[in-house]
Amino acid sequence: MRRPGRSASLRTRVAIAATLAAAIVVAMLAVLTSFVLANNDAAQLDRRLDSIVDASMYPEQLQDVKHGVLTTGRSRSTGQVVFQRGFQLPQLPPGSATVEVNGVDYRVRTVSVDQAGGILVSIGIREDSILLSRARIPLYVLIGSLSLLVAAGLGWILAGPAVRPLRRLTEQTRRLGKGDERMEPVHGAREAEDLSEAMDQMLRRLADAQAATTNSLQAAQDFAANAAHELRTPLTAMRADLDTLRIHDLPADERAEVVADLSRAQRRVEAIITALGQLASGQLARAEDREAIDVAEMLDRVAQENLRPSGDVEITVTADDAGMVWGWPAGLRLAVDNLVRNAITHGGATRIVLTARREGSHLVVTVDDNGRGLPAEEHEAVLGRFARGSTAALGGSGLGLALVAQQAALHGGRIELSDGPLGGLRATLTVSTSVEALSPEASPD
Amino acid sequence: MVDDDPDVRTSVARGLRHSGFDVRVAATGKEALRLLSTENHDALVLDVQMPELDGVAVVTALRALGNDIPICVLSARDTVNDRIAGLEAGADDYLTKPFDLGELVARLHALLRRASHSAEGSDAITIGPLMIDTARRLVFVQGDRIELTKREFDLLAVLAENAGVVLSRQRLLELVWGYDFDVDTNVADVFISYLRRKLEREGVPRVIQTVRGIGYVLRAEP
Repeated sequence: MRRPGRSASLRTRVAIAATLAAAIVVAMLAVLTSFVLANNDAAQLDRRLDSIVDASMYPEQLQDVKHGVLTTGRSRSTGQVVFQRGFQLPQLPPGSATVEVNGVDYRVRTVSVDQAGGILVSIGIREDSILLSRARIPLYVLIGSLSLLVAAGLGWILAGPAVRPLRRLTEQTRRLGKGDERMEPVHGAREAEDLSEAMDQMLRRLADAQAATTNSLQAAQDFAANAAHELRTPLTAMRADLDTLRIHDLPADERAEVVADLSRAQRRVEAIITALGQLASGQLARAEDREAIDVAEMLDRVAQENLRPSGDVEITVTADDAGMVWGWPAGLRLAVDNLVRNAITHGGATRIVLTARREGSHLVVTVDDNGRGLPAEEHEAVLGRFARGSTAALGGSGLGLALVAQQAALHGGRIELSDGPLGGLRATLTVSTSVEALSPEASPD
Repeated sequence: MVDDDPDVRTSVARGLRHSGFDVRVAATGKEALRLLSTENHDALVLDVQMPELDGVAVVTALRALGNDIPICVLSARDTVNDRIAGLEAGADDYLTKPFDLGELVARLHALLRRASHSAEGSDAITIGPLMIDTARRLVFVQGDRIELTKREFDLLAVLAENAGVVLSRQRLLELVWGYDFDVDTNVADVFISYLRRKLEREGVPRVIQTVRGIGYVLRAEP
């Protein structure tokens, strides 16, 4: 999510702040230095003037070290001092040199004069400058330290606004968890913006994950409560029947009736437990367990398994061009099997037609029966867990169609009930034929 | 006998029939109310969890119509909870599914016996902030009238008649419900908690005291 006109990066902001601080210090030092240098130039000029004035007008004052221009003339041949003004300078060759006289440095120029048989004249003036005197070193150190402090202070002040977006981000992060679950977008620095955006996305993902966890926990809790209730109901009937048998001495025919009810309730408990296990394994379906399924073969097998020995149920399969689908063989067979069983058990059907055909990217399996059908307003409701139709026979788990719906969702399709052409119910199971549509994560509800 | 599950309906009704009851069954709350309004019945066994009109609604409707028929609700809840759906609405007792048929039969017999001779009090009893008008079956706390269900009133009346005497759970079950047999139920404790909730509103001090390990007693001081 790149916005047009992105803010400067934090690096740029800090660099600008540092440059600004340095620039201010450099400018201040430059002003100070030029001022000092200008003053110093004037002072040096004055000193030179003083020296000239001293030398030409007040030779008697030349003993004064402060002003002194020292002049010493020596014979070129013997080295004897010919004349001297002020302190004596040592013997020097022609040229320039620095010498110490009475603890003061003098810069001396020695020239050769062709007078009186050749004389070397050395003229020296004080070398110590106003600017570079040792005495001033502490002052310069002080100024240097002060400018360091000023630079640090300026850096501190200017870096504040530079990193302000980061600070805002920190404050916002701190506010999180104190009731405020959303991040206000932070502007000003690119890194902070990116970070705030990333954190916002992370928070959203966390909130979504938390909501999903809460939902699935809630669903699991509801499901457990429902399952307990569903199991307790047949157990209640069984307990009443057992107590009846125990307390009363029933005649044989009544006794047989009670025992028949008992075994039916027991089968109901079994059916619920089996279906619960199947639901759980459907929820745990793994993508790597998928196989290619021959649809016609699967439907034939379901038909064979549901034929009664008495031959009172006729099951027809039409699936010539259904081909193969990719999925969980046991799960898909369970779904079709549940539909056929429902038609026989709850619909009382004697004729069932299984049809499979391709429709675009889907395989459509229809189960038509000539049973007693189901009121249209229940077509949707019976797909829920522990939901039973008003025409359902006794002893069902209430989970059969929920299992079909789960498998349909796993296979990227759906289950639909409608009034069928044979007078009973039509169940239409859609299964995706594209491999990508299959997802074990798909919610079965 | 009202339950939405055909298996439970069939089996429990059959068991009750063999135990000497004349049983009519209903699959829904609506059907039960219709049966009760057209025929005369002595007791009601009612499943709480039913689609549409549930057991609590049936109890509420019956009591609102002034029908005092003894009601035993069948609760599917397995948690130990004072809030048994149906009891607060005015049912007399409850059993948790699955239950012992003999237990249900014994309780029904006792409730039927009780229903025929309701305790006849003489006059008003006053204990602390509590005033019980046994003749008109009215209860006042600090002058304000408190609405009690029939069973709650019977329990309070028994405690008031024995004010200062500690009554065990067993004795309360015998005096209020007519359970003169060994019975495994906490229905007395559940009703005590309902009574306390209703009587102790707005900082009224506790009048029903628990005597730990023995039972309950009605007196103003703990």
